[in-house]
Amino acid sequence: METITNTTHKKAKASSFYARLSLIALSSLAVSSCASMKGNEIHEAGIIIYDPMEEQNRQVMAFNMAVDKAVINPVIEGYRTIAPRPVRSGIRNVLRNLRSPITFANQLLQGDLGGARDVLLRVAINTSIGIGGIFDVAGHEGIEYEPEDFGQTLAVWGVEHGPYMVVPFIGPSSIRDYGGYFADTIADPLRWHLFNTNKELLYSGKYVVDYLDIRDSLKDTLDDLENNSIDYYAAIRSTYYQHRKALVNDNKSISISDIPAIPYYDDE
Amino acid sequence: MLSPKFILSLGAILTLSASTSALAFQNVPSTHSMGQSTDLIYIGSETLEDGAIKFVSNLAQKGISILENEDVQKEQREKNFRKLLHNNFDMKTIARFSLGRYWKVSSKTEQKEYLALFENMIINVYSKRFSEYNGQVIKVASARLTGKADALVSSSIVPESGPKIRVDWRVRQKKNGKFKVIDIIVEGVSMSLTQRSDFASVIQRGGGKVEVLLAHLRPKS
Repeated sequence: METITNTTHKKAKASSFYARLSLIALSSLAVSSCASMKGNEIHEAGIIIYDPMEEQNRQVMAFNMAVDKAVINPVIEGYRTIAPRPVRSGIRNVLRNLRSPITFANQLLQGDLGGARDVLLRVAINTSIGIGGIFDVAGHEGIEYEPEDFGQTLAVWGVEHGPYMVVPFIGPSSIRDYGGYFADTIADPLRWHLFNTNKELLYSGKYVVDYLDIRDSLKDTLDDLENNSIDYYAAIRSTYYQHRKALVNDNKSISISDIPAIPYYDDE
Repeated sequence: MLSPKFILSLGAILTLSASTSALAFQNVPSTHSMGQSTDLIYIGSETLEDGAIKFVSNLAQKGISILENEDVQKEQREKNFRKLLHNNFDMKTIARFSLGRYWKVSSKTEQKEYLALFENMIINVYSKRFSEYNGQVIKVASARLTGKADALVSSSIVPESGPKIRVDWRVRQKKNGKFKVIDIIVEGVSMSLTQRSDFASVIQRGGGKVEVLLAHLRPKS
């Protein structure tokens, strides 16, 4: 990563499709966020956690955890047994490579030209030398993978999270980020291509592997967070907001205004 | 959203305990990005940033050598590591920050019990997280001033395979000149902030009583 571009200060150029989608997302957000952004907000270190549906969210989380225990976790154990770490990392690299059109579009929409160039370089290098994306050769050479999604793009454009939501089978999100996820899925050229060539089944297969990969890579961390928190729900929620903020800032460097003030208690 | 980066960042916490094999340690000279200096922060000719970098580097090195030492029993290793945490983390500050606004509404007895329980819990958590560490490269890169006696030290942990993990250490120079860790930020996620969110929710849902939190912490220590 040679250039550090501050994406939030760059103007984004919207392409037609994303622009239309974002208009829908924006208008629905405007409605939802104007409604009642008072009362149950939590402010911490420049992050506003707004969780008006907390009780429902907690129920969805309980549901998700039950599903994880009954289905997802055993499946992940199986996946780990069948596919050793190098295989899983190869699968992850292929999936990231396939995601490049989405990542590229979002880099452009955020006005991050350096980021967009890196996506192109990564596809070129990893698809060829990295044998269809199995090996992250570009990453080894310092052009690292940078996850981008439409939720981040909306954030760069100044859209707030709106209400926090826990989505069944997916987990923590917000109106903005879930809308972004939806837009990315709909706009994915790979999806269009496979649907237009009657390969829906292949797309479904890819979706399942994608899901498995994400859950596999999350598992250890979530287990840790669950074991080391008292209110797991609140711990995940805080982590989600902090993490999304870091992603929007491209995780380059923590700005000092983003870190919480820790008073000099000894001086009191 | 379950973006892959979400995994990674969260994964960072655990990746610290994921095992790889290389043992190495590097210290790249600091870059000073902010020049605000007050007379408080100089010890001799060393700036606060330099001191902070040295502190984090030494701490990481000590931690690694304790965990890598196969000559002593596992229990002894754990004991040494706990001692290292106790000596180099500003437990009182982390504890007070984590309790947030509920510190002031607690009684003296509650505060005292909370401090003891908290330190015990934090040491348990961190020694668990780091105990399976078998050696990774940690690169301490730079430091920035974040307050009159505070610095943010940036480092990255580079596993043998896979992407590096960004870890920022918030350190504070105490009145006696010694540095202490006051927070660890892994890929943008502050451990202390997450802790505070957790505690606040527990107390809030428990009707605003700090006792509810203490009741949860007691069995953990």
